[in-house]
Amino acid sequence: MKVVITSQEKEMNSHVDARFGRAAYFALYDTETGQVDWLQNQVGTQQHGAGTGAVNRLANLGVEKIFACVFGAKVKPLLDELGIQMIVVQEGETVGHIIEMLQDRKK
Amino acid sequence: MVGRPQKIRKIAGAPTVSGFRPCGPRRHRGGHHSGRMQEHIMLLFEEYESIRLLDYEGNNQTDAAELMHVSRPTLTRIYQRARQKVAQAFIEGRPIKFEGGNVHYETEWYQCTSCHSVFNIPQNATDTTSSMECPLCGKTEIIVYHNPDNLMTEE
Repeated sequence: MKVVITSQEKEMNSHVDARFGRAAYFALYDTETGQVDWLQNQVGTQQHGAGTGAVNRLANLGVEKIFACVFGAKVKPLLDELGIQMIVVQEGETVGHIIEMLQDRKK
Repeated sequence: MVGRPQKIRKIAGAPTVSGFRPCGPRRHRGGHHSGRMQEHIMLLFEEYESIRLLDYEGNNQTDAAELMHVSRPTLTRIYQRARQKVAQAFIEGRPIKFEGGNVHYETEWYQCTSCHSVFNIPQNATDTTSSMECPLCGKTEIIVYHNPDNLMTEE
């Protein structure tokens, strides 16, 4: 399963980027292979439609869960419709820690 | 001139069936279907929801309006349309079909008491096995989270 964690930088110890649509990077983590890909959020600086643009891109990649601290009002119904789960984590959480927790779950 | 866009109505969930059909005409019991099936009456989800909240759950209109995130007069109008349509279907013996309308599903939010992350369960999720464990830490002490508006920002 592919999940996405918003990230401020392209590093495992970077913090989760609070706002989903405005996130700097997305850490695309594959729970099967353990692989992490870093995607730059090109639409993050757009005035409008950042969240929905990001959703479309991630949905095309087959992402099933998204970890962030806040989701935009337009994003929620879209994700509901696509059946993508939203997980709101505590601010200050790191990408690496979330991935560790997901790895621990599998055991 | 373009009118003001409709507010989005919140509903708890889609109806469990896609519609209703009359049993058939009274005088032709056991016989062939007489004529064509009459044209459907489209009952919008928001109209269905108003009947569910008011008549089924017994809420008053003020509370029901709040639950659907519309004003009380709007709720009254939605409900009037709903009753008018149901009555029409009954009297004219026409089938009812439930249809979208301008709605937004109210998904429930849950919180893990262990890692405090808050999450929803998408209705059409493929991964249903883990529905009641935390998607982050996997613990099963989950409570319903009551302030989902805190999680949303306007773009």
